[in-house]
Amino acid sequence: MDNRLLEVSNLRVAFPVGNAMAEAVRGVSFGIDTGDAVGVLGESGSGKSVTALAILKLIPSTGRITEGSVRFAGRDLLSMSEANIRKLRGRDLSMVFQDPLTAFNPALRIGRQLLNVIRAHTSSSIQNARARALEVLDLVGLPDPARVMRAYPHELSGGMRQRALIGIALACNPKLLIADEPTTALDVTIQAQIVELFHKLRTELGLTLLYITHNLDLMAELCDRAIVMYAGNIVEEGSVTDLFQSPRHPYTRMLIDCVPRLEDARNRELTVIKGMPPPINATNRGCLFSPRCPSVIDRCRVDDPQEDFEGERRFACWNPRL
Amino acid sequence: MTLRRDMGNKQLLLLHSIASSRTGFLGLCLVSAMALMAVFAPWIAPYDPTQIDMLNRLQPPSLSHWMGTDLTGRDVFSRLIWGARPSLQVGILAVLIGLPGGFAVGLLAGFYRGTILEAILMRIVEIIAAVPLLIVAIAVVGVLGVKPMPLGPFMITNEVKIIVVLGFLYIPGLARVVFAVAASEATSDYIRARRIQGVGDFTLMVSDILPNCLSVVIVWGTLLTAGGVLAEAGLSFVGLGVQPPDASWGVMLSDARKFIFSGEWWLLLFPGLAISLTVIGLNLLGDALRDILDPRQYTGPRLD
Repeated sequence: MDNRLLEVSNLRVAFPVGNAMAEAVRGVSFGIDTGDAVGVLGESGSGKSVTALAILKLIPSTGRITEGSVRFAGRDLLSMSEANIRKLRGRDLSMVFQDPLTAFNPALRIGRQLLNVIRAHTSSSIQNARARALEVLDLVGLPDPARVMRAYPHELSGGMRQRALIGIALACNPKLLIADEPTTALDVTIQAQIVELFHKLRTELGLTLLYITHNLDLMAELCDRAIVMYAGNIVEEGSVTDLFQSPRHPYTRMLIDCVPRLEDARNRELTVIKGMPPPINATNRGCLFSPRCPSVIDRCRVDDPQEDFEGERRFACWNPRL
Repeated sequence: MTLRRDMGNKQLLLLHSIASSRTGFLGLCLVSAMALMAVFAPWIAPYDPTQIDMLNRLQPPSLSHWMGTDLTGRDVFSRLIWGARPSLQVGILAVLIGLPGGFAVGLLAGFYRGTILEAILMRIVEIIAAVPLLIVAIAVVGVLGVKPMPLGPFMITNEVKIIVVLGFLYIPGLARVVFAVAASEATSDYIRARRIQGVGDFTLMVSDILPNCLSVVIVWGTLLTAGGVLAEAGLSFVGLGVQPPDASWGVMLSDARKFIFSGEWWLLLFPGLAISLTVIGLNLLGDALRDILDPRQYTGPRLD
């Protein structure tokens, strides 16, 4: 437990829907050790991004963290003052976003935006900050960093923008990097390059990574461990190999089946998970996945699933595939 | 790809863009002509603008007096050139005085939208904006008088009073345009991104949001300059601006109003034209700038 970097326990986040509060994250617990790369998988709306933002204590203003704790490097983030947590954001806790275009201010050169972040966290001189900026842009594999510094965001291609954004996230040597679907807005060849870049950063810098995605293949390539989320709950967690070879939770199984394989017969129908995720204000008893679950048993509809542990892995299912 | 790279080139490019639209070019020419007149008045004007010459009074335009002479024989052309000075001084300096206030109020209210701070600031802005500009200026000058007032080591001339009053009254308009941009930028993704990266509110306002307001403020400022030119002419016309015998387009029109129906057309035409052309020029320039100054509409080459 010594090198436990992040410990999230029983985190609950609620948003107002109509007159009531609805939970987007319903009691999530997990931990990340220094040097780990953990993937978070799930459909849109499963609470992945809200969990990430709650770690930074930056959920959208209408929402509220109702329960739970987040401990980062031994400090309780949720009880920390805004001024103190701001010092951590971007320095110890960094984040890379889905759409690198909207994450940049269109009116400012890349260099200025990068320097603003560096100078928000260090008292270094302009010369030192500039040197550091060029260094990180080089680190993320951008050719001619000096030219990138002078460019406006719209003058860069999507892949270059994402590299620059990763550069900003790395500028202050973060202890933990949260990547929220960093490749979703990019085309396939660029996706591979970005994943390659994360790989390099992990081996060279020993970066700790929380990688949120719905792309299983990229996650499998990059992460050691994965968390599968459904409707604000963690349904399964385990090593990537375990999850892919023998998923216990039917949802994990179906997610894997949804990815079309080249060796599949061409006329084979694509697998889909029938039905829709429950609405955010669903309050039905029992397992929230039960209406869509193929291996549902009576108990699923009545009792909330309890977590089962099996070595390094855990899953919340009454009728797991063994 | 090398276009737009160097700082020096950027200003040239802006001028080039203005000049390449027909109306923008016209506006630029008119405004530059007036500005040159104002700056180089002592060297351009053929006569002293206050020199009385009773023998040559009310002369029609001729080779020696291009725009004729007025009631006391002063050269209308020289007075016109010198009259560009108070017009542009009031127009430009009033905007420059209003800018910091407009930015401060607009940025704070826009950034903290929905808070009590925004409510207080914007209500004050609305109260000030509800009062007509010229009426307040007339009231202030009327109360303080048109004579220069000593303030410590400085003499506050009547023109300075007008500039300060107009500048203050410009704050609501400027604050509103800044507010509109700032409020929408404050909720944008990049501001959230920058927050997540740990950048503080003040840096966000000054370094991220302010540059995005610049284009609308430049456009608005150009149009307000035209308003200032008109306000100065109006105040001088009613005797509360530039004091005779000093030259100002408003003073010239005021002197000329006795001659509207008596045939001395040059007394009215030239100052009237000068005011109109300056205001038209500033408006055309403002419109051209509005079309150009939006980096998001830039569709030139990308750096790939």
